[in-house]
Amino acid sequence: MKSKMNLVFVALLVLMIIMSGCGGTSQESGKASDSSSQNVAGKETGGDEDEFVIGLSGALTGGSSALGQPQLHAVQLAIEEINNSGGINGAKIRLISEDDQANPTKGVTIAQKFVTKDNVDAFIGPTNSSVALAMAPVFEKAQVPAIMAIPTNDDVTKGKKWIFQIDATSKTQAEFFASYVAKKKMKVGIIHDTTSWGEANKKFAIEELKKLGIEPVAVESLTVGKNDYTPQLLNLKKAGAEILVAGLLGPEAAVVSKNAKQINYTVPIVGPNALAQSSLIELGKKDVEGMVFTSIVDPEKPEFKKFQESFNKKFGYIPETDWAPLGYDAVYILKKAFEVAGHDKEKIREALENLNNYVGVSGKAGSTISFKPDDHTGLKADAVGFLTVKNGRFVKYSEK
Amino acid sequence: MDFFIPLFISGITFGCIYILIALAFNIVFSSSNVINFAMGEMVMVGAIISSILYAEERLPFIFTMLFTMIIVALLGIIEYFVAVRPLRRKNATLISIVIATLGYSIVLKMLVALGIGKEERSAISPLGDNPITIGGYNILPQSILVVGLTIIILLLTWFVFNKTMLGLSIRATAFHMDGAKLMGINVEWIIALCFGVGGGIAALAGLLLAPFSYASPWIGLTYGIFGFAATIIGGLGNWVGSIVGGLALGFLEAFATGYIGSEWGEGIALIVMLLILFIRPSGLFGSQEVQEAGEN
Repeated sequence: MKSKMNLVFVALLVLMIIMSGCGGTSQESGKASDSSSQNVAGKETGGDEDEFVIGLSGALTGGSSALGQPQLHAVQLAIEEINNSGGINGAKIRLISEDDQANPTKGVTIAQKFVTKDNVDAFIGPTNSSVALAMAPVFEKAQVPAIMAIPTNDDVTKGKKWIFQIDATSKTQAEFFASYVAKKKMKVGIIHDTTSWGEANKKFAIEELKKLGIEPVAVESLTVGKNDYTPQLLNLKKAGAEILVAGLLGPEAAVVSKNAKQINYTVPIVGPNALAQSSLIELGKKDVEGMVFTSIVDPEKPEFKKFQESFNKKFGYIPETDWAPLGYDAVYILKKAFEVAGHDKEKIREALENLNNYVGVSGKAGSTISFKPDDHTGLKADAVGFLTVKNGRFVKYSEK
Repeated sequence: MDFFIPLFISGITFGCIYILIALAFNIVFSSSNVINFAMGEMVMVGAIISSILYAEERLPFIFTMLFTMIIVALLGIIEYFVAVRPLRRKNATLISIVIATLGYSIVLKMLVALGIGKEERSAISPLGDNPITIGGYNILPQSILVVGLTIIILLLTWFVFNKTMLGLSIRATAFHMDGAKLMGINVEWIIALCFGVGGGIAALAGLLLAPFSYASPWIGLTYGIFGFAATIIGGLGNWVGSIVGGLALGFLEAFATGYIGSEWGEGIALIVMLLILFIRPSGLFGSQEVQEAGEN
């Protein structure tokens, strides 16, 4: 009896695995799940041919897939471009991508697979700070260079030899929008989600505002994925907040704007770049018009425009926000390092540390990406600007 | 009052959503003693299908509602035959069956995510987005729809379960399965039907809550947990309990967030659930028999 029951469970499990596999390939984003099979094929024929292997992990499913998918696409695009134009001194780059679902535990497993089984030359990803913090020690220990392009938590690279960040960190971004808020001379309220990322945003927002002599009149938190944040907004309204700093992701920011309108509470909302997800506009529609957020893309930068074009040609949609450019730059930064260092990981690391004034597609026009031995964060305050929502599009924000 | 009334509206709206989910849990439980943990995902599927049909395809609302409920009801019936019945026939423990429903919920979630799409979909209310002003307070028409439909569903299920032959068969099955079999009731189909009705009502909850924010494959878990908490507060297998439990949870959440602090809202709601369980393990309205049945 019992063994039969076990059989049912096993069957159920197998069914689930098959179904998730099938679903993946029938989808436009199927390349993500395909890669593992390509990988096996590559392993068999590889060996006699020199190739560079990049491991990528990101939230390809789940709430953060709005960040993970564009990054994956951008990385695929960059690798295709490099391979088509002669590769790295003739050697091609091969990508192995994995879905960590924004789950730190999954992230650690994937990192371990990359450094032991796949023996990757370098790593790009993940999309979420909590996952990045969990993965970093694995790469440190295995001594594999890792570019964590999207995560903004300031602790990701702190004291690390092998980890590099590209996006402007939470602190840098908070500094930037705090000065914007300070200029407005309004009473400030903070609303943030309860993820570690949201909490970090709250912390830095409070710290940076304090430096400018501003004390928020109310701080409210919310749980991701709930449908109604009216109570939180009522509290902010009662406290008299005239401008809101939002440590939120796109969908929640859309709901917050909607709820605010329902209680006749129309205040400007500013926040970090994570607000700028396509879902913000799709869900918030008119209610999110005029929202302001930091961003490391510059819609008028020629490099960025060119990138958008080739991206659109390959994938059929235009990346307007930060996630795709960061992945794209990560590949080209690795290319530079591979070219001088080959497969020697220590030399790749050194080459990355000496990256100087690299002009990427991310960052405000005129800004560059540099790493130093004691500073592994890429984009600095000069790379940050503001985006806003206008007529349902993300556009450059200009002060009137 | 400027503070109290909007909180009250938020509380009663989501209280009604929790009532529907708790009712769905109870219908399945009362016929089969199974706690169907796929309920949260049924809510999610309801939200997604309805937003595709109504917001994207612009089909009539009544059609959307019926079609969504029927599709998810079928998913519930399939769940019974795929995940529950085979285990029952093997005399599996209730725990194993409950775990199997959890497995089914993961399958549902992944199928929707991979087959339909992972992105958040916006949903629209059939009554529009412009708040109605009553006595100086803004009320979303959707809130009124939620309360209205919840009352209709409660009356309808009460009628079916207490005044019809079908209801009698269901209650007989719940009361004594073997006895019901001897009376010529097709117990298998009665239970399958209850899984279906539970799914349909959960789908309605999903359809109703999506316009407040959005539908995505990841919203199921929260509503599964809160719906289950409402069921537990009211007492498993008790319908009056669903109403009290759902409203209690909705109000607790809204008022705790408003008056105590947002970081406390959900915590307090769930702490109250624990306290009730400590004092009355069978819930506010639960009977001792239910508790014993659950232990078998």
